[in-house]
Formats: sequence, structure tokens, C-alpha cells
Amino acid sequence: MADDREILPLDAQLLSEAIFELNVSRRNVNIYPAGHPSVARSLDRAYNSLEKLFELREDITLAIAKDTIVIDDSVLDKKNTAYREFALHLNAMNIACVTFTAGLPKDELYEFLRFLSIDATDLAPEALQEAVREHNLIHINIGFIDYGAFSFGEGRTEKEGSGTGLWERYIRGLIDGTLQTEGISDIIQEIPPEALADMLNKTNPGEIREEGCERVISTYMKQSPETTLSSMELTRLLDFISRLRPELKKQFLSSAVKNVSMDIRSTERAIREISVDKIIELLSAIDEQQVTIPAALKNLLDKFSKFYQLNSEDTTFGDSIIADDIFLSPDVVNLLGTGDFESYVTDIYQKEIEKVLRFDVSEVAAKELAELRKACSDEYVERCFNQTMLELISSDLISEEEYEYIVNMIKEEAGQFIETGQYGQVLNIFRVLESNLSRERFPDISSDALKDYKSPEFISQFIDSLRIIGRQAREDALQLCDYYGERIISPLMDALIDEESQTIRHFLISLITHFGARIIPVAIKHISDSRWFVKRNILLILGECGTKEVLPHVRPYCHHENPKVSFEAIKCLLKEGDSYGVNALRGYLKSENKEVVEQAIVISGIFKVREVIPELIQMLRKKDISGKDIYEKIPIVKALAQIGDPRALDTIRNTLSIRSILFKGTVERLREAIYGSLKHYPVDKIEDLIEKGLKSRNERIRDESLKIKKARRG
Amino acid sequence: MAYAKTFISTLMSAISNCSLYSKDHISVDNLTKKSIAILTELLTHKDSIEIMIVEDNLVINKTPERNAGHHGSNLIKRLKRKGISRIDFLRDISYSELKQFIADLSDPDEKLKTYPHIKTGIVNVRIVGDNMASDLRNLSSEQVEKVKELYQNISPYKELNISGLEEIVVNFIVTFKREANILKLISPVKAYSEYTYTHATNVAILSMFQAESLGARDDLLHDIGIAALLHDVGKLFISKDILEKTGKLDKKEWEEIKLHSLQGARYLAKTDGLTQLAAVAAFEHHLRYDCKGYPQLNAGGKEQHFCSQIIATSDFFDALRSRRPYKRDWQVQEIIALMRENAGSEFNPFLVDNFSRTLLKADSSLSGNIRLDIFKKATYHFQGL
Repeated sequence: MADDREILPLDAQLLSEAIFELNVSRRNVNIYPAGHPSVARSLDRAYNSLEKLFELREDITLAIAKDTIVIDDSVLDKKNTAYREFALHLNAMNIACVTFTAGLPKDELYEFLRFLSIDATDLAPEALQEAVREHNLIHINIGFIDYGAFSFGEGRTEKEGSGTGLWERYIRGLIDGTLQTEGISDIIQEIPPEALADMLNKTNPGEIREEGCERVISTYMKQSPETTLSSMELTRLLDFISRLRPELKKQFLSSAVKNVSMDIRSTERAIREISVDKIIELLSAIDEQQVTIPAALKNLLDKFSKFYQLNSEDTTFGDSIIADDIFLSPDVVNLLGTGDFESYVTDIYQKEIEKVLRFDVSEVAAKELAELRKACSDEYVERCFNQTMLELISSDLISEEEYEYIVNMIKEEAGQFIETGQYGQVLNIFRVLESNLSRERFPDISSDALKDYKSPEFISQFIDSLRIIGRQAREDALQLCDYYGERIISPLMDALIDEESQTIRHFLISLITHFGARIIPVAIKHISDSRWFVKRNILLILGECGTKEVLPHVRPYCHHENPKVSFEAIKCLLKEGDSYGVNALRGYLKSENKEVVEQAIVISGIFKVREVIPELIQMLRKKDISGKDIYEKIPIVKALAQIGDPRALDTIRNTLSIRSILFKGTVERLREAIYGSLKHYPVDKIEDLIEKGLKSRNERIRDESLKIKKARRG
Repeated sequence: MAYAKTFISTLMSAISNCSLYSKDHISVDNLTKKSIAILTELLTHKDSIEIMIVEDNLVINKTPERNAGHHGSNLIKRLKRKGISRIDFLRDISYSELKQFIADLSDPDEKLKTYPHIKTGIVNVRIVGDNMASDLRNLSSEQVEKVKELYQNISPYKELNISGLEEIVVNFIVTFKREANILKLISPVKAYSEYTYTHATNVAILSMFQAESLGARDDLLHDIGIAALLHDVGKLFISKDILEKTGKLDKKEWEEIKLHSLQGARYLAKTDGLTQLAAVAAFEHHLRYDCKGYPQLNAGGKEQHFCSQIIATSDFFDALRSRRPYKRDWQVQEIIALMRENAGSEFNPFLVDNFSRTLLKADSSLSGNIRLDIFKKATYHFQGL
């Protein structure tokens, strides 16, 4: 008895009710607590519907092909919202099929629905399977999607859209138990056509259904929908079909047409290579599907089909054509209506359009237009789309719901703009949202969005981007930093501290110093950092942006053990003319460490520290013992010149008179350095030196003297 | 899994930067290095990272990624364009091969190459009839050999001219199927206004014709065709009385007509799976080359996109070339003359020139009517990209 019941087809109406009620119950269980009247009512209805189905069958299996429910060999109406919603929900939970078995208690159905209310978004498949076990389902068996069944066609490509139907094929294989998780057997392709036909001819009428035919054909043609078709394969297929008994021939021919039509380009190629009889055989099945095509639609499709013919070497298409609901949908019926084409388009114009359609642009050697390609690149189109969306949300046309939808869409784009350094686009988004907020246009949505953009996560994304690409978009980066104001200073400072690249550190410092005195509180906070390089960078920043109020925080670092820190502190103080810095510098000029002294000399010159002129003069007067002693006077000469105080000139004159037989070359370098820097002194105080220089045997000295003389005349 | 997502984000940023700047740009270098570092980490305990696209879902290491986000969608889009639905990144992948892969993926013209540690291909589901398979396994090897011999004797090169047959039926059906979603979008337009629909189809044909003559192919040509077909979809939201009024429109009616650009963009922006170009062109097709048209710009920074300029040219041509109850059909030379007058203000002068020239070549009967010599000294301007 049970066996008899199993082969009965399910009642469509009952099935429809059951799925509808299951979906309603699922939603109610998700919203309301257990025992809530809405839950109890919908659960009762779902349970009763299943009970009625169990009278026809011992078990009912719903297979889920993404947004479609498949039962036995039938695909339930894809347009039915309840079916679609239920299927999508199950698919999102990684469920491939659910089998309900007779004897299912109501409590267990409730448990199942509770399981369905789990938020599976971030759950791993193993966690979901564990959750099923926890719900202790006995009469409901859940099969999860096994992605291992999706095989890898390495090195192959498919055209867009051809990957569709994977779920249907997966589910069909799953239901039939024919899903191959390992390499496909080649056996079927090796069968002679007559042997295969003989075998099928022996089957009983009605035993082979349409799906079966398709399967045989696609396997026999060594063709999954992604591969292209060779003329040999097509010939072999038609040989095979011609050997079938009449009723099977019709059935298989119809499937064959569907199958070859998936790939028009290779079909076309194949067709050219086979006999007329076979083509007629093939077209006879296509002819059954003939439709009258209105002119406007035909023009359009001709254009699109020409495009595909011209360009796709191996275009493949989805599962089926003839059985597809495209031929039945009201949209299509509408498009096939004759309309008033002739009343708008004159015969002459239609002929012109036909000529345009027939025209092969290669005849005019179409030039590749770089601008067109650039304008149509994903990134550029995204940018234009974003601007269009900003215009939309600036208009008064859209509803609150649409406003929210677009604002969310823009949010995704904004992340992309940040990562690609298109900060100007992001700034534009902020400006539009700010403007809408000030106009009180959907203020909650605008303000929430702005809040997101000001969140630490988004700012951190911006900072990461600045480190990678910011230098290439410096102006926009500065403007975006300006928009964020003080809230970005701290993250920028953190980034600076972490950054290993000197170039990027310089860039980050330039962004930070752009804020001027506003960075002081954050900088002071970081100055006590134990790492010397952090202190040095903070002192540098304070030097750029600081005011007198930072000096007490800086002074202690003038005597830091690391000269890089101490000199940065001194520079910071000298900028403000702080005497503490001068004294510290004076101290370093007397250091035992020659490198420290040299750096102190350089700083004295750069910052024109007049207070240390006596020390510098004294150092210049020091008697030379070695060539090194002479050489070390070069930075002193330069520093004194940078200060430009005539008090140093007497000592300079004396230095010029130094004679050395042993270190003649070094003395010449020192003299060149003196003449090279003389221009910084008042001209009337160095006339004698210029005249002397003009008579010098050293060409460089003569040149420098001449330059100064000419500059004086000028 | 979260780390794999980070890898995809970094990889996609590298691809976008490579597309925006160049393969040798420092940001591409940095992001490639970052991607390699993440991959190396991911591959510490695995031999490979498998990324699959099962229809529109991203599956990483056999686990579906439900929240793939913008980067995930972009990766799917890029891979689909290359005809790829699976990538395996293998252990020991080098910086140079990942960088080459990024460069190839970012270039629409570049086919993916063979990389030692990156395998690309397609996802498939393999099914075989159980019963049939077991029956077939019983066939002898002699039988199989016999078939092979038989096949080798068949010449696959029998010539036959069947030009036209497949275009009439097969291509039509295939194209119908291929463009089903777009046809569903344009269908309400036909139901609402037969003229708007006819106009849209003509504009699509003329725009693809122009774009093709400028070197557009494949996806780009397709996207321009779709954008052109849907450029006036906003008219669905304009009162039929106004849309089909034969008399002069008053100010209020004209203001409503002008809303169709915004309405179109609004409608198309919410339509999944459509090229973003469609919403852009719907918004901009009346903006004019000098941006002095409509809708009025409020957000700043907008210029008319090159594709919108193509569509605007076709739109103008068809509107004048078509016959309406209140106007005659203009002759091609009259339209071209008017377009020429407005080149530089309403239309991109380069496009007006190109359209006229290519139209003349497609239909030589027009040659006596169109004077193209005037364009010889024309200066072409492209709006900054």
C-alpha cells in the first residue's frame, strides 16, 4: 500500500498550501515567542497541510535550487513570492533539500521552524549542522549543500550568463542520486550511436522523461552547457537520434535542439560542416517554435544578435530556450504585439535602420577610442553612477525609503572610493549629506549615514588608504582630512607612529601639520612615548605647528640621550627664539662628540643663532694641526655666513690667509667654501675680499667673486 | 573566513587601483604585497584557497560567503566578464604572478594567462544517469574501438552555405533568451507608450552603431545598447496625457516632462543586475554637452558621460527622423545640419562628425545630401574624463 502511495503525484494545490503555510510559520516563529496565537495558528495550518500530503506520500522532499523549489521532477512556479522567499531562506542556510516523513509530530515541526529562525549569515556549515543535531529532528531530514560537488573545469572559460542553472543541475543530480563528486566517466561518450539507440529503443514508452533525454544528450555530446560543440559531436548526436524509434526520436530531437541552441556560435560553425538533411532535421524542431516578430523588436534583436555573432567565439547560454517561460510571460506577449511602428517610422527610415543594422563597421576600420574605453571602465562608471545617485538624493523626487536605499548604496561605493584614493568623491558624498541634513531632508537617515562616515572604522579605512595611496591624491586627501577636523588627528598620529616607511611618514606629518596648532593636545599626549622616533616625530610636528605654550613640554628633551631627539627639541625651541634652546645648542657646540658638534654648527647656521657667533668664531680661530682640523672649519664658515653677521669677517679674513704645505688641497676647499658663502654678508663689508677673489688663481673663487660683483651692480 | 574576505577586499582594491592608475603604481605594489602576505598566512595550513562563483554566490573553500559585500560583487563581476567562475590560489604563489594576475584581471582586453600558482576555470556540476552508466560499462572495448574507427572516417568538412537560416530563427531565439531581463524592463514602456518604445529601440540601434564605429566591442557595446534602450524609461512615470499631447506643452507640463530623466535614473538605480551606465545615461541624456540642459545639477562635479553623449546624439536624430502626429519626419540632411549647428553646445562635436560620416558609409544613398567637408577643419573636444 505504501509503495502504491509513493508513486502518486503530489496534489499541486495541497503542496502550494503546505509551502505557503510553512513559510508563514517560519516568519511567525521568527517574530513571536512560543505559544503566541499567531505562531500556534500558522503552525496548525502548516502541520495540517503536511498531514494531508502524507496521505498521498510517506515522505515529501523539497529540493532547493537557490530561489526555486523542486519537487520530484517539477520546478515550482519561480514567480510565486512565498515559494521564492522560502527557497531563498533555506538556501541562505546552506540547505539543499528537506525531507518530511509521515508521523512528524507538531512539536518537531516547530523545532524545525525554530532552527530556520537562526541567523546563519556568519555561521560556518559545520555550525549549522551542529544546530540541526541540537534540535533533535527525527522526521525531518535536512541535506546541506555540498560544495565539493561543484567541480573545477580548469583552464576553461564561459561567457557571462552561461553559469546559470548550476543550482538546478546540482539539485537534479542530488534528487536523482546522480551527482558526481569526482571526475566524470568517459564511458558514455565512447558508445557507438547505434548501441546507445538500441539500448534506449528497448525502454518502455513513458519511461524516459524530458530531463532524461537532456541528460543523455548533454552527456553523449560530451557537452556540459559550458563547452562548445563540434560538428563531429553534432553529427554523432544526429546519427544517434536517427536510429531511435519514432516517438523517442521526436522527444530526443526536441531536447537536442534545446541543447545545441545553448551555444549559437559553435552551433553555427557545426551546422556549416554537416549535411543538408541533418540541418533540416535540426531546423524542423526549431521551426515548431516560430513566432511572428514585430519590426521594432526584430531590429533590436537583430542588432544584439549581430553583436553576439561577431564577437563571441564560444558563447553559451542557459539551460533551455523552448521550455523557458520567456515565451509565455506577459512581457513577451506584450513585446510580440504588432504596435504602431509604421506610424512613427517611415519606410525610408526603416530602410536606413536596416542598412545601419547590416553595416559592418570593420569596413570603416573603426578606431579604438581610448577615451571611450576609459569612460566605460568600471571605476569611471562607478564614479559617474555615484554622482548620479548624489543628484538623486539632492532632488525632491524620491521617497524616504528610496533615499535610504540610495544612501546605503552610496555607502558601499564610498568604501571603494576610499580604497582607490578617490577622496574627492567621498567629500562630495559628505557635502551632499550635510546639505540635506541642514535642509532637514530625511534628517535621521542623513545623520546616521554621516555618523557612519565619522565612525572609527571608516576613518581607519581612510587612514589605511592614505598610507597606501594618499600621496597620489594629496590635495583631496588634505581636504578630506580638513572635513574630519580634529577627530582625525589622533588616528593620523597613531598611523605615523606605526609607519615604517620614511616617505609615508613624511606624508603623514604633512597631513598632521596641516592642522596647525590644533594638533598640540594630541602631540603633547604622545611626546612622553618611550620610543625615541615617536618623540622625534612629535617634536618635529610641534616645531611645525607649535606655539610658545608648547615650549615647557619641549625643553626637557633638549638633553635627551638620543641626539636625533635632542636636536629636534632644540630646533623646536629655536623656532620660537627660546633662550633655553640657545643655551642647549651652545652646550652641544662644546661637546666632545664631533658629530654632535657638527650638527650643532649646522643648526646654528640654519636658525641664524646670533647668540652663538662667539663660540663659532672661537672654533674657527682654533689652530689647525691636521688636515681634518682644516676640513672641519668648512661647516663653521658656512654657518657663520648663514647668520651673516659682519663680526665674523675679520676671522674669515684670517682664515683665508692660512697657508699649509701639507694640506694645500684642504685649504683650497676651505677658501672655496668661504667664497661660496660670502654672498650672505653685507656687500660693502666684503669689497676687499671680492677684489682679492677676482685675482685668485682658483677658478671657482674667481667665479664666485664675479657673481657677487655682478649681483652688486644689478 | 574573515581573513579570506580581507584577502578579497585587498585583491579587489589592488585591481581597482591597477585599473585607475597603472600596474606599476605604488598603490598596486603595496596592495599586491599585502595580498601576498594575507595569502601566505591563509596558505599556512592549506594547499590552496578556492574561490568559486555558484551563480551569483561567492563560495570560499567550499563555504558560502553570504556577506561578500561590494568587493565580493565586484570580484564576481570581473571574473564573469573573463568567463571565469573559479580561482584556486596555491601555496608558494609569488608576488610577480599575483601582480600579473591583478593586471590581467583589471584589463578588460586581457585574457587570463596561465600562472604557476593560480588556477582559473569554471564551476560545473556533473551528472550522469546511474542506470545508463552501469549498462554502458558493460560494452566491450571492441565496440568502443569500432565506434572510434567509424568516427574517424567521417569528414567533418562538408561545405554548405546556410547563411541566413540561423539568423532568422536560432539567433532570434537565443538573443531573446539572452536579453530576457532587459526585454522585461522595456516591456512596460511598450505597454505604456508605443512611440517611446519604438524610439527606445531605434536609439539603442543607433547608439550601438555609433559605439561600434568608435571601437566598442563585447560587454561595452552591450552595455551601451542597454543604456540606450532604457534611456527614456522614466517616461513611464509621466502622465500619458502629457506624454502624448499633440499641442504645445505649458510650463507645468514641460516641467513634468523634464522629470523623466530623474525618474529614469531613480527607477534604474534600484534595478538589480543592470549596468550602472543605464541609470547614468537616463539621468544625463538631456544634460547637454555643455551641461546646460536638464535636470538641474545640485550635487556638483558632474559632466555628461561620453556614453550619454552618444545616446543624446541618437536620441535627437531619432526624435526628428520619426513621424509624430504633430510633426513630419525630418530628412537626414536637415537633422545633421541642425546637429552640426548645435555641436559644441548641445552635442559633442566629435560624435556629430562621427555619426554623420558613419551613417553616410552605411547608407551611401545619403551621400548626395550630406556635406561632410565642413567637418574637415572641425576641432574636436572631449570632456575631461
